[in-house]
Amino acid sequence: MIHTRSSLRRAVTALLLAAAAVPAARPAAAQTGFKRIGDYVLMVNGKEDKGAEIYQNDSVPAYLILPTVLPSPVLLTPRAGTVQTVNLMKVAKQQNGTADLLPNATVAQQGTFKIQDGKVMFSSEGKQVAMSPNPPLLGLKKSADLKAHSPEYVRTAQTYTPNAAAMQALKKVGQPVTVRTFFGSWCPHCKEHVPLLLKVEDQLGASKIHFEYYGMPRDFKDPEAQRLKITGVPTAIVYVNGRQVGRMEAQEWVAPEVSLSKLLSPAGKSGK
Amino acid sequence: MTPDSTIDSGSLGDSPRPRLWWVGTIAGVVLGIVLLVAVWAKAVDPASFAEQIRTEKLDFLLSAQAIALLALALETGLGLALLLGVRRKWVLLPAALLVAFFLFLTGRSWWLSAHGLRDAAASCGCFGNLVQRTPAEAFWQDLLLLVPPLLLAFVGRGRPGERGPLFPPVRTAVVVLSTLAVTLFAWKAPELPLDNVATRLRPGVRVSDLCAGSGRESICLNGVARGLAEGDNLVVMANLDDPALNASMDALNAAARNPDGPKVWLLSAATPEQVTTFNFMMGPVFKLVETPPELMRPLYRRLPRAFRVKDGKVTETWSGLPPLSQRAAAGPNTPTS
Repeated sequence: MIHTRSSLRRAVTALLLAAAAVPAARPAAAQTGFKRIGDYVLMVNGKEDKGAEIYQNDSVPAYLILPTVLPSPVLLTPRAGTVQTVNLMKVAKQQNGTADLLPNATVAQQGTFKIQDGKVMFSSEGKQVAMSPNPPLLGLKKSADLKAHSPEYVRTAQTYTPNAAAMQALKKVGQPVTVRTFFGSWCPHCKEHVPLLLKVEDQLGASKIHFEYYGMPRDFKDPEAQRLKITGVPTAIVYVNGRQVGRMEAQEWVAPEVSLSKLLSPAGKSGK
Repeated sequence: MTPDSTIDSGSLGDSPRPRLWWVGTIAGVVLGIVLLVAVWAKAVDPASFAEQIRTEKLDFLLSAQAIALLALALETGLGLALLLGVRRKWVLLPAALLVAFFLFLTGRSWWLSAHGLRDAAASCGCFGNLVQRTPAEAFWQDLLLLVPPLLLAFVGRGRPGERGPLFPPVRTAVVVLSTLAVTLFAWKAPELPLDNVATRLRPGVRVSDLCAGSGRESICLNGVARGLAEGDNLVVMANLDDPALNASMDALNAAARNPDGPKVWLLSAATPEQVTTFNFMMGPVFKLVETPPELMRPLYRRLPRAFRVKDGKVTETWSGLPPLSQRAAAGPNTPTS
């Protein structure tokens, strides 16, 4: 009998310890600073939810999904692998485009997610959900297309301050200039650098410089790119009066407005 | 540097050397130096050399590591023999074969890449054909550095009666012993603290000077990891599936969350699928930068490797993970040295 009681006590203790070891399923504290990302599209029961928004929190880490075809938002917690539904009323979208989760936002556990072929798969409220890599932007595009495709571009552009002297020089350009940027919406380095040019384009406003963007496939097999011998992205080709005067490649993207103003300066043009 | 005629019996003693003999001797010394410089670059990082052997699919008989050591021994022996002025057929013929083999490899690489049969693209594909030197450059550089001195060394080796014994005893002994020593060094090199010597990443270097590619297509570390050139940064280079990295995630995340600590970066030549898996399985709260292998490979001998960058300049390097993550991986009570 004594032996049975001590076994029971040990079992209860073990259960309590195990319960303590399980990570907290429902974070009571607020989670702030979810940033919208464009890396994935949301598929629900095999169909794309085009209005869905996916946010990432760098500091927690966590992913917040605001679907349009599911009743509740979903919170994915990396490492723990948990999927939880969230009370929509406790999602606060901020003016700067970020989103916050208010305290006690999570509603119910929906199990765990798994990763297969680069997709994050889970089920929520009885539906099969997958976060699939966002298909790349291909062909000739405008800056608005890039911003719509990759919210990160908008965010990075917001934080960039172009060189004032270079911008002044670009504003004074008198001849029609076209800057065609070959980029990959799948390319992490483009995500770092192309937004800088978007900011330059925005700040130049109505200038003589026309910007256009050309989305490349991952394998670079694009007739236009092959014709122009594009071997890396981002690469911008600069045309003055329809004539190519130079290119911006690799390291020249660290401050694209400076590189562009050098290309368009008389010395830069003669040097090409 | 010139042959010691007083030591090697059979030489002509005081009789003046023909001009062609001197040309051949100097050419042999030049070729010897070229081969020994190449040996040094490979011996300090034999793993990288073994990777090249695997890439060229030359490891069909022996393991790439074994072939790397044998090739280094051969190149050392021939280089030293030429440097010491031993220009017998047992040196010149294998040297000619070695040079021909190098040219065959670089020529084949050039042909394959010119016909689109060898993909030189980086992991993320962003940089297209970013390479340290183009296959064509590699071929022509090897041709110009190796062939003229080899031909001159061959032509200027003198008449048969002037050359002395087949194996000049002292110089042959020096060659054999030095070759053994270099081979032993190359074998043990991965365990030696030579990262700062063997790689381009060392304290004092600026991240803007760590570049890959040539000319306007070159890309530098500060271009790939924007922001690395400013402030205090702790950079870890690792494979995303490295158990040591995974075991240290808590410590790295804690370091990344510390507002007073350096900004934490992870550089990896990973595919997008690997990045997704890592992000969702490991939950990093620091920046993961997909880095072209061509840019990252010259910065390490073995992964993981870490370094600290202050205001764009590398101040410290570590073989393995930085001390703070090692502490966490080892447990909170484990003292660190």
